[in-house]
Amino acid sequence: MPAPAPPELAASAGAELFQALAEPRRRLLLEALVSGVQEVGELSRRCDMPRTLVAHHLGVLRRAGLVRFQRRHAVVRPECLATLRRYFDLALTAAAISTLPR
Amino acid sequence: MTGDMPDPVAGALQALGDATRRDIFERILARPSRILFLAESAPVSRPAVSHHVRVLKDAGLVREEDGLLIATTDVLPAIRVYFDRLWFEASVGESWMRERFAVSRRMHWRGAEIGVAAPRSKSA
Repeated sequence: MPAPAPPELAASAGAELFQALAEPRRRLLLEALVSGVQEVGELSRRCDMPRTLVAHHLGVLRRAGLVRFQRRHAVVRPECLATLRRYFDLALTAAAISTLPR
Repeated sequence: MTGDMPDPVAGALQALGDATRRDIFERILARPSRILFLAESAPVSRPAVSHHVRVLKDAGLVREEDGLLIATTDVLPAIRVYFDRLWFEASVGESWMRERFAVSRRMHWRGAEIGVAAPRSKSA
């Protein structure tokens, strides 16, 4: 019988979140955001992407819960990153247990 | 600063971006399994499951031992450190650094006042 995914692991992070993180340019934007860049024009310069593409990717990050907009500035939501830390914490623990000799 | 990010992290995050693939990965995490067992409960065909497993293996998230698929601990620590860093920078990072720096400087100055700030002089 196949084992079901551990519930706390599956529930701790959504599909949209992982989809958002799979794209390298969105991670590039995320890294620029946590380093303090917030304005679309500057993100566009820093990440070497047209403004329309920056706006598109920010929209995806927002729908995934990683970013919120404050007036016209994009701000990373740390609680979402905390969810990801927790997810990979659990994943690492589970992997470490499954590689133990039986 | 994506250039600083080790490639395995990028590869693994790309592999986990697909919901079905992540589901398969979580099932392997929960218990080492054979492809046949995974295919029974997956919402996709067996060849599709094999493909997803192949991608997970290429990403270094899963390895196979005598037909048994096992989650590895090869890439996960680096991914965890990556999100640790992002979370840290996004939440406490800068203010924490500033505060620590200010405290250590204050201690240094106090040390200078009472004459213990020169650890290299043996006679002190």
